[in-house]
Amino acid sequence: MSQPPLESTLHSSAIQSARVRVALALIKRFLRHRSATVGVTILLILIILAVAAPAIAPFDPLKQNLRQGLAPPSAEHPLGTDEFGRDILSRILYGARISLRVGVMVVLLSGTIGVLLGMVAGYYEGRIDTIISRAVDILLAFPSLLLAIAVITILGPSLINALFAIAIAQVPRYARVTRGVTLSQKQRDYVDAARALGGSPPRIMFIHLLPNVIGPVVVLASLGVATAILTTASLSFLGLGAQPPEPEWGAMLSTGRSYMRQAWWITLFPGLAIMITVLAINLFGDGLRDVLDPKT
Amino acid sequence: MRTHRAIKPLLRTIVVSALLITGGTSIAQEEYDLLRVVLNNAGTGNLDVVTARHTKATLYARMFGDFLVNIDPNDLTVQPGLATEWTVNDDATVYTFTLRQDVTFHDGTPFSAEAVKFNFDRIAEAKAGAGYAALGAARYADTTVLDEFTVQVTFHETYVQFLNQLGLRLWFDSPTAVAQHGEDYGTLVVVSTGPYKVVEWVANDHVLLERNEDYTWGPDIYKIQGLPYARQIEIRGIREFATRRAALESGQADIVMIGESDVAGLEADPRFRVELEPKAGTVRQLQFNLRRAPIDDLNVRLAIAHAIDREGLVAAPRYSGAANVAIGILGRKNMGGDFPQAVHDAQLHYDPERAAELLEASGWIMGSSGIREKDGEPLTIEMIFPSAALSEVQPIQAMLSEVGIDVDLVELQTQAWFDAEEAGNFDMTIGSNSGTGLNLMNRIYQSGGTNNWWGLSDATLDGYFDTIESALTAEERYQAAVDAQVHMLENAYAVPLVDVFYPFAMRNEVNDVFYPAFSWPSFYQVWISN
Repeated sequence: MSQPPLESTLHSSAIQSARVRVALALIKRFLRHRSATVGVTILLILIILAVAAPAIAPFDPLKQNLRQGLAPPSAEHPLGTDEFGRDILSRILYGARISLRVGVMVVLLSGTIGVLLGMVAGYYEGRIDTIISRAVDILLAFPSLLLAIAVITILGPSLINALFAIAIAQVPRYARVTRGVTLSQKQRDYVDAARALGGSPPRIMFIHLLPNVIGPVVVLASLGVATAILTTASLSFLGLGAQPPEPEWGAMLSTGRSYMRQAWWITLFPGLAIMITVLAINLFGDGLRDVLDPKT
Repeated sequence: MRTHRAIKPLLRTIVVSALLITGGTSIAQEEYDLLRVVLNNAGTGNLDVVTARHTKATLYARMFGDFLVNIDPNDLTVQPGLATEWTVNDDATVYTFTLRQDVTFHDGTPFSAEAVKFNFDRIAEAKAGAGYAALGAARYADTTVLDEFTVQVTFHETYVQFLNQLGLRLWFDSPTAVAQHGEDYGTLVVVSTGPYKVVEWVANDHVLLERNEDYTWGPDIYKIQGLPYARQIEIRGIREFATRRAALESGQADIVMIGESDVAGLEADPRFRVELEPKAGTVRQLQFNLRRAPIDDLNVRLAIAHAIDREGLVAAPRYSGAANVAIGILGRKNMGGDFPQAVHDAQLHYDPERAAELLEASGWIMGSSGIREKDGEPLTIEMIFPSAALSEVQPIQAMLSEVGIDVDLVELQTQAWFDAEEAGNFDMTIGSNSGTGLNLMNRIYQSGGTNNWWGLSDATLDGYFDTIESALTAEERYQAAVDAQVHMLENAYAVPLVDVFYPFAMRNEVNDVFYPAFSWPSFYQVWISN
């Protein structure tokens, strides 16, 4: 087994330490960003609450007690009960699991597909680029909520189908950004060097281009989580997302709207949960963008 | 100045006295431009007497149409309508009607014996629908024109409920208009004889009615017989009851069908009045597709009946106590206010333990997920429901879940729900039917009944239903209705849930909403005090 030359090892360890220094600098900059730290803190709390929901929720979120329907906030039910006597606090805690999971899943799914399509279009250009770009243009021509509704009409209403529908609607954003960055990055010397060394197109794309393309995508993804949570809530509000009795925040708003006059708590608290979560993610995303943007 | 000071107290006294006498309002019953009504939905399909099947069609028909006879809501006696007199032979197979001679359709063509024959024969040819059922279905033989204003309707068998049905939903379409408009009739054009003409009909949205300026033949069951006070009536459907209440409170509606949970709040508001009218017809109930497993298993149906906490349903915000626990298949209004002990005794009371025993007896064992299983298959029931019933079905889903039954809720738009029922694409659904008479159950649960979408065929039950329509004494018919309901409860062919009211709220200035024996109101005689 042959050893790598000493010069090469020294060179790669220098690169490693340079990368660590850059990462540390970025983290420092991020931590100095006040609104971003607020966003991350709230987000961490939400994640902890969501993970710990089974342990900390005072009641089963699906358990009905019809005779205690629309009970106002009290010591027993700090956020009151809904029309079926279900504890709203418990439902919001469990709902956080659904919303955060949907947000992350949508971003992973749409981001993966979008980045792949964007890189292929940007790298190969020509006819492949034309086909992908036109398809992306067509998808972008539809408002994302309308597109999601159309997809759900075909697949049928459910949370999983809503997740797919929202992911499909978000793919064009990632594809377009990735294509643009790929077009610019592929002109760089390191790509020419990789090509000269005989690197195959997939290797060049995933080993060399991807790390340099991913920055803007990460920012987009962080904001995409918020969009996904909002869109899921909207679809559930319309009866097209989470189905009864799932404690999804949008669905809670939807069933509560008939009783808003008698029971303000039934819509206020799920609405606040959505607002705080989306705000936290947006603050985090904005901070990330500021930190990663070389102009700032 | 002196004179003024002397006159002012006098004027004040006169004005105050006038206000005291009139209660601060003018009570003149005068014409006005528009009455705005908001219901839970505006209805679907069309308004042709042959094919109309949504319950709201019968509400509209009380304004755009007339009936041969009318049922007095106070004593349920049969009163004249388009027919001034009628005779019935001894075995109730031949009915002869003498018609009013001053009635015209909205298109100006005369209403006559020929028009009655045209409509009845057209309904009979369809061999389906609520109109066909009201006409006695296969019992109907024919209609004979004896002279221009005398008509005879003949049945193959005794049909004692015919007069009741005539007063419920058999309005008359203009033969000329039907011929002229073909497929468009009922959807784009409706031409009948009533105090209002249909100007605009948008299914699932609204109907706009305009006064029939020639109307002089209103029946005596109303306070007026001539022109209505409102020149137009707009009836709009809004699904959310919070929005309906807001429409009333913001002055965008005069009369609103409210949600039960809004009754107490609006009763406490001095600007409005709430009127609770018991619904005539069948109660809100679970209905089953008896052709499908596992619903075809009596134990499963009995278990469902025992798993439902009906007192809980009534107490929940959805009904807020403004409803009654259902006793039988028919509502209290149809049973004359009370049920005999036999129906009470046949009730399947809330007993989850009994439900569990029944399911286990049929081999449904509790699985690790909390859902019962048999041969590796989960006990899942597909329940279809119209969107408006979302808040009713969720407690049922939760209650059945408690005994290990998984309910898969499938929300459908009203028309799609009807279609799914008719096609048998469901295990369980929730519904109720509007209508008067003991024989309302017949078309829903009798073998071959026009609305029997459940695959129900039970000879014993059919015998009771035959008696309801053919027995010549009221006592026999009533007993048959009792026996039929007991039999249905014992076999859990349907599970009664809630006996509801139609809750209407209106501005205090709105007067004389009329509640027929069939309890969707009529707005024909409504007037506004200013």
